[in-house]
Amino acid sequence: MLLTGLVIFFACEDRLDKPPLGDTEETFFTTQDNYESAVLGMYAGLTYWYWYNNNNCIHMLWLLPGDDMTTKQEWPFESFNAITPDDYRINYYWDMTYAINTRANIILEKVEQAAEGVYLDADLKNWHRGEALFIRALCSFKLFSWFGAAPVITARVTGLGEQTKPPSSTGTQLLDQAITDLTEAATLLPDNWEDKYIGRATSNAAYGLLGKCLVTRACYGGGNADYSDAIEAFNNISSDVQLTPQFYSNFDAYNENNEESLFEFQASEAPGFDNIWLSNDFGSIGSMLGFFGYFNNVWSWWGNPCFVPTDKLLNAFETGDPRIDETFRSNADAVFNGWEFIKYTNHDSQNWEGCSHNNNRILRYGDILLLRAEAYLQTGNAAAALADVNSIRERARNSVPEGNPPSAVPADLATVAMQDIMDERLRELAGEEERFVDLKRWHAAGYVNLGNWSAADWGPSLNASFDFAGWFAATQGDMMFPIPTDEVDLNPNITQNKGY
Amino acid sequence: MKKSITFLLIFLLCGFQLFAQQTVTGTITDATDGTPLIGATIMLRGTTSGSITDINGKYSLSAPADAVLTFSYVGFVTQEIQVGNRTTIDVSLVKSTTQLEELVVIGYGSRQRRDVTSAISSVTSEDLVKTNSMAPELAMQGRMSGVYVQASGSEPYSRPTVRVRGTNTWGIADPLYVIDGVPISEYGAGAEAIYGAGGTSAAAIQDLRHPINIMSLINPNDIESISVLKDATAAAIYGVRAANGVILITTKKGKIGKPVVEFNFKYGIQNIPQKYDVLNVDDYVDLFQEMFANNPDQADLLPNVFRPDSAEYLGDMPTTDWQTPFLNKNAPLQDYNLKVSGGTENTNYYISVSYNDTESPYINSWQKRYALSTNINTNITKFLRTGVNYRFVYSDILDDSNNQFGGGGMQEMATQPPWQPIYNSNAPEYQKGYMEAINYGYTNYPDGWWAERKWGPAGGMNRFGEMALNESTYSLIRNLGTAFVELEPLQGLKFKGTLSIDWFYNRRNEWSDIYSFVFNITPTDPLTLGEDGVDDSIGSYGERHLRNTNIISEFSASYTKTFGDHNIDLLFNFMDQQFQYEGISGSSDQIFARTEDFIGFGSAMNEYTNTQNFKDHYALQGIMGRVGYNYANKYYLDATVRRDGSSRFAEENRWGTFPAFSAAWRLSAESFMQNLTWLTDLKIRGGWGQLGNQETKAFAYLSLVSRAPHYAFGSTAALGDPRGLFYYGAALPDYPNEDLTWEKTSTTNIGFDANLFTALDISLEYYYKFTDGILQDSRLPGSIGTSTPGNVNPPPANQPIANIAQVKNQGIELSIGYRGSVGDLNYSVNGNLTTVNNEVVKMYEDTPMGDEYGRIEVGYPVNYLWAYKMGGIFRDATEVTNYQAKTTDATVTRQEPGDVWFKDVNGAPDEDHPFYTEGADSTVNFYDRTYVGKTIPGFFYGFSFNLEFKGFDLSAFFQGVGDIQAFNNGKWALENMNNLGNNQSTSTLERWTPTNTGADLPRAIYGDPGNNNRTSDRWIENAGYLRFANLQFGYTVPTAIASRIGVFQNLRVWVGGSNLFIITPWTGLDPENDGIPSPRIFNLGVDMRF
Repeated sequence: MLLTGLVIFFACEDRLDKPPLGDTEETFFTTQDNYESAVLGMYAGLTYWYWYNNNNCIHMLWLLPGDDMTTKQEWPFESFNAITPDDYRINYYWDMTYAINTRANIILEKVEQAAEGVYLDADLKNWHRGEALFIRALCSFKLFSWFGAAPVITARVTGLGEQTKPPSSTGTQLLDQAITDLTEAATLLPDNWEDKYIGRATSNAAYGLLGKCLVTRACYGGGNADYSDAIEAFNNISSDVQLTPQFYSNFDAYNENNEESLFEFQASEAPGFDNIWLSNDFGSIGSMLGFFGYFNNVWSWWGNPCFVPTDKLLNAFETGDPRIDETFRSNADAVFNGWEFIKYTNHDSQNWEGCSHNNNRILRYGDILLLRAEAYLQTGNAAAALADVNSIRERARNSVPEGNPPSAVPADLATVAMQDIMDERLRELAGEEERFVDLKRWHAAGYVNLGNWSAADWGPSLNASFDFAGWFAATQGDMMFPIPTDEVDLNPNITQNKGY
Repeated sequence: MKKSITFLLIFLLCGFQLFAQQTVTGTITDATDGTPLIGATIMLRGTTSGSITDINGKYSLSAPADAVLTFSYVGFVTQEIQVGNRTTIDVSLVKSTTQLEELVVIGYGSRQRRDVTSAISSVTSEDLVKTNSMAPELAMQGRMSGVYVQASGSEPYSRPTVRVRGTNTWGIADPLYVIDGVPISEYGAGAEAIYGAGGTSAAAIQDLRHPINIMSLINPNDIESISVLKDATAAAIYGVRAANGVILITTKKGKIGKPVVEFNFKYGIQNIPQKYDVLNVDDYVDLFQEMFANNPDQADLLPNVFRPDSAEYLGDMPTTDWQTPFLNKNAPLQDYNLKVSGGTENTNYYISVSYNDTESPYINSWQKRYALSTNINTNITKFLRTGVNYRFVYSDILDDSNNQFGGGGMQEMATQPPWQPIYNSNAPEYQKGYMEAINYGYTNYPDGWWAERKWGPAGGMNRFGEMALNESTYSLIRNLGTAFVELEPLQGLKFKGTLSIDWFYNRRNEWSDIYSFVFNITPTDPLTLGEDGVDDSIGSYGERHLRNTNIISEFSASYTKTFGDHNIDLLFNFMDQQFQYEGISGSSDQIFARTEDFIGFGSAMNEYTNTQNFKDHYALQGIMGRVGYNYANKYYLDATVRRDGSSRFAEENRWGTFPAFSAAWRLSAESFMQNLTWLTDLKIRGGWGQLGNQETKAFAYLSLVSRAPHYAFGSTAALGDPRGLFYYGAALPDYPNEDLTWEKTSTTNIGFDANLFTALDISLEYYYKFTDGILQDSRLPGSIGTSTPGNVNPPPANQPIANIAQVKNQGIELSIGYRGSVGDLNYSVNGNLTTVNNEVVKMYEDTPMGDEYGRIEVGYPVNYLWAYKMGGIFRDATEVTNYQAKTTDATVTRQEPGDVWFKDVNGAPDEDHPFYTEGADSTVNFYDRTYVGKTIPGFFYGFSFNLEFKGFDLSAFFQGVGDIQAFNNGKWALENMNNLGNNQSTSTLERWTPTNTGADLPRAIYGDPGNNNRTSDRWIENAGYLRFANLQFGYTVPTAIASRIGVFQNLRVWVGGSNLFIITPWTGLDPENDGIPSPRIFNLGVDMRF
């Protein structure tokens, strides 16, 4: 034993060299498969937005502010009362969107640095770059839509100091970056993927989102040039992309990634066991599921008042529009306040915990056609605009159960005005992620004046403390969420949004 | 080869002096009655050579004529005698009345308390055996200055919190435990529990460690003493991981003499003395009706179970008391110990076996422990010694009532709707007489499973049913062994090689009966578990096997020498520690048969079987040199330098050097003090030193790839499965930080130890600890994209770690002891007090972090409570108007009479104040959260009284903490009057109503539009307390009688109690832990020696 002591005493220090129990960044990016995994990991980040999140799901951030949905619960995003920068969901949305953004930046950096011979498939390298640019653009678009001014981050930060304090963007910088990224992504990405990879970003998705960003920028001062570029981008979408015969196919768990789809969150379920309380970053049991329990009061919504259609939405449809039966139905239960919103839940596939396999449709062709109609109309091509709106209306009246004759309503419009497009978007896209973003950009473009809106214009809200006017005035018409307290505290180069 | 040079130096320092040797013999006796003292020590002063007395009190050793012999025996005053030309020296020793003679274990040796220069507290076996806990940590509570122990509850296996001199860091602040020289490493106790490791998340690692206290695998009866090394000089010898203090546990050894057989028996009963007072069904229904009626917007959401006109109305059910059946009334604890020890001049041995069986004061939890230990030391020749110390412990644990099923203890029971029954005599047999918590069925068999709560929206799990059907057990095995060889080629020069192994195994078996879903409010469709079919599954079963292996090799060289009045001792030590952790778990949802001995994960059911493995490893090395010098026991100097290496850091930052010095001056030995006859002893001492803490994320200097993210593609109508095809992804959660290195804590001490009138010991010292380079998550803004999701606000971030922050702790430590006698009555009084002033000095960019329950901010104590301040209750509408005229509360939707109003203390940040500005700004918003309390106690203390009269002895021990606040979670759960359906405290009967506007509690309102229940000082209470911790009354049968009635040498019987009462302003069950309060224990025991 004395000898043992002596031996160890004179032994080398390499007994302190303990290899890490897993791959390190240094050793990882050496095969094409590793790159493929990292890209998958980037897509997995989308789960951050759509999962149940320990009963803290954030869908209400984009569902409640619009005039299409309301609820009895006094959520600040519905009442516009006391939206505060320390709100958990706002902090989470910000942090997670940037976490996804960073995953995209890491892919871009690593693809750039890939050694000769790592990629066996030359196309794949371009596709990976295109996918990362697409995801980064999606993050930029969301940040612009909800926070307005947020840092544009296009490179991975790997240290402390000034680089950790990026400045707030100004004007449409976030959209500009998204447009740059998508313009390149569209040329890099494939038109489609082989069956087992369906759901990854395609050139069609890139053109679609590019056009959407351009239309948005047009509203915020970009004007006709952006509308024209948007039309061009939309027209680059392949003819394989079309409206589905049935409206509801877009919300059907068993008809995902269909011909109308451009990009979806691929809700799934961890094999073996999906723990809805654990994030996707938690080993193989982290949750991959989406959540719609706020619509249909599954047990994991814990009996909270549900998100229900506003009177405005209930009255927005012409009697006999087949879309009604796929959008809401009456329900006397108190939590529904009379009406249950059924868009995503009517053809859902849920697991026993009430979480869903149904994909959130992030971008679909129906949305694109209405955006294109808007761009045509604003650039003076009313006929083309009318054709696009009517194609939506035509699909709507054909959306009847099998064996039934097409409905007479909604009939084709004879002429089209901006109000028609706005109304059609409410009917077609209610309860998706669009409404409040639409209202804000239309306000910016002057098509509506939200400053004059009152609770009655909202549907009205079921919320007694509803105070849109107060919020509108406080934010000086910006209608942006606050920049989270943490970001403001930690980053002196951030400007807080107006009103907070 | 720097190391070998150090080594040579030690050789050169060894003097070679030769003296004529002569043999000295004699007898050592007790001065009071002349009986021989067996095992008394005779040492040549300044050396480590000496002898001990045999069973007749006789000794013999050879010594040079100029040598000074030191005669000592525990509890007696040491004498020193010059040999001169004498060959016979008989000595009678006088019983000591001071603590000066106590031997204190200082690590790699021991010293008399009078010669200690650093800050060390100790507790001896006498006090240890009085504790009723299976865990030795609780024996330290209140008995030592500078050591704060917080009991975590009444489960025999629960793990207390121990902090030495405040809280150094918000990383891992637990002290290092060293058992007989073996530093204990437990996986999950370090930084991996914060950051995760090896692909396993932090939460998973905490679950792996949970809930077992591995210290409960040491039998307190085998412990001779516990020393706590508090300052850098003392702890430096265990420098690696010693920055948070070191707890040295030394176990018993045999003493010279004929075999001594001891038997101890203890039996006790435990009870939790308090319960929450909650509403009966009538008051409960009234409260909820009023709560909804008060909110017109949501009044129609009142659940039908509260509506008398509804068929679902439950208000006519009888009231069920959920708390009492949860208590295991008079929970027994039993402890049996049998020890045999003895020794000859060359060999000593100690063997013990013990059995302990302790039930929790909650039902369905217990721990049984079987322990055996041996310690044998022998001199092979005059210059070669060897020894082995080995303990083996096996423990069985049943852990049903609290931990395994995520139970919330008494609070969960108290908030259960009072109409929900526990028992159901008409239930199907598989429910074992317990009431189901749900209604369930199939709308379209076998699809369309539905389940709803049977007892209203807050109807809870029926834990009683779950406990009856399910089971979670642990089996633990611990092997802890040390063996050494020591060579002493020259007198005073020793080389020692030691090999120690701590091997710890933890197995968990979990059984869940398929029918237990009926007691669960979030049940799984039993069909998905295979309830229906030919091979019916009857449940799920899982096993988890974990192994902790810790191998420590040490080599040390020491030299002790006296030159006249100069005494030196030198120590050089090299340590290498290799830690390995591995484990595997497996479970299956498809179990066909349950017998105790055979449950398999049926091979045909692979698709339902999950397996997982875990592993981690690390290594530490340390080289240490210590020089001790004292001149005539008057001037002392100790210096230590150590160099530590850790595998946690990048190669270039792996090693840290940590020096420490301390000095003491015995003033009372100076001639000018000699005429102060009342001053027996006075020593001033001081020291400074530095220690390292390596507890940070494993391999944080590398950027690890996470293979956790997963995603699916390929879901199409053609595939027909909305789940698509599963793929594993990869992500980089953070980035490499190669600069990461040791966190360093510097300690400065100054104090004195005094003895007055030979009876009064006083020790007072001031300490100042400064921790620099705290391994802090750098906490980047969210836009940097290193955040990960979580369910707290803000989301915890997977932030890069860097050596950033600083914390200081300072305070005083005072201990006083007095021993005296009046006739045959001997008495002693002891007390100690410690103060802690903790403050964060610097942080990453000085940005505050943490949440309401543990905020970290520069200028405040670590983990302070940060919340709104309640101003009062709006008594009427005028008060609301007046308040709103001055102040807008941005966090409320509306305020009405009966709501709480909150104070406007701070405003929004400005240029110079980046986080908030002080002073009112007419808005109450999140900037108005402020300091409302601290979680580190400002002071803690203990005091005890001991009386001995003839054969009778009585001891009483009190212990307390002060200047501490805590969030009263039970109060929040039982007084918020907003949680849908949870039962509430009877205090809510005195709530604000239009006819009771002077109430202390606000109105009941569902939805809480006034945000009355925000985290505020409304829920913060003073958590200070004084506890009557222990009382023992014993009678020792006189030896003459004892030996007549049997073979007893000694026979003592005693009765006692623990936690007899507590004085506290806290309104919950126990300020230390409301969830699992400490039990009140009455016990009795017999100690026999043969």
